[in-house]
Amino acid sequence: MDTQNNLINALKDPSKKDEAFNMLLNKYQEKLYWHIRKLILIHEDTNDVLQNTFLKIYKGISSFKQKSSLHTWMYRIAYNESIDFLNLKKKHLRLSSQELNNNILESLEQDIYFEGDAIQIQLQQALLTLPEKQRSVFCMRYYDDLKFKEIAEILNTSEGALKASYHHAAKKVSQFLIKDPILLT
Amino acid sequence: MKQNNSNNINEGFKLPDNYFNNFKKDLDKKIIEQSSSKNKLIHLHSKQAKYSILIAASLLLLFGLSYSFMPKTLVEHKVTFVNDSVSKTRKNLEFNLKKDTNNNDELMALFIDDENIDEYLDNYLIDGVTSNE
Repeated sequence: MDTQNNLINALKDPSKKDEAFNMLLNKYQEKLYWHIRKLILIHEDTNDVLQNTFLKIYKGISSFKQKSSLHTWMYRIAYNESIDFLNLKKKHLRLSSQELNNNILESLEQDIYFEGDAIQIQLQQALLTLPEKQRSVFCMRYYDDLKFKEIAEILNTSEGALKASYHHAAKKVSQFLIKDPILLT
Repeated sequence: MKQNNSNNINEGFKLPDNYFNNFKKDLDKKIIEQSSSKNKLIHLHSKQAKYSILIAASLLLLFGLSYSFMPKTLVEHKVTFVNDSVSKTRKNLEFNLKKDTNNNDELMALFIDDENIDEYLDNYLIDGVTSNE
């Protein structure tokens, strides 16, 4: 806790900000990258969102009120940036949510930084059938291994609602995968 | 059903070589760029700029058209009309002043004693009538 407070104080101090920001970057860039990547899926898009996320963190750290932990605050920024990016993409390409998911899946199969097999593509396909919030909860719990309390703070929702949401998401993903013969062979 | 970050490679997701070191360099560049451009830029393609340009152009066109295409005769006619109105107003004012003066005399007559009325009529009202003629 003290280490975190020291880091926050250093980030708010203009003379120490750049050095402290480098420390923050080293500590969190990989975690936030994977958090964003699992929502966005495409590497190039993830790179853009990650840059915007850290730019916002750099600019906004002076007004960070410490109502949540630094970790949660950064995840919330990354999550919001990811959702904004997906909404903008949907608007820009004039696609429905379903069409956007198909578009992402096609792009994923062509992404040179994705070498998943049929099963891994199928898992992503199953996740893309979930409503946005359920998919986010599932990714944060399954991939990022975040606690429900932390996810609740990031998404500004109650823990109870999140647990129910995760349960529904996991059930839907299982059903989707069971239906398909690829997994059975 | 849990999975650690270290297992991301198993999910089929890959990264470019040396990605995070390069990311740091790219981000540093962006931060420096944004810090150096202190003045806020308004892009010409932004909605705000488009509306501002449209409003300014419309106003300019409106004023330009009003003055360029207004016939000269209309301007001259406007000046003549104003002059006529001024002289007419002046005449009306003079007439009303005279009328007021006469009314005042008539009004004054109401407060003159019967004994002095003849003298008043001789001195004021009859003189006034003759001078108007």
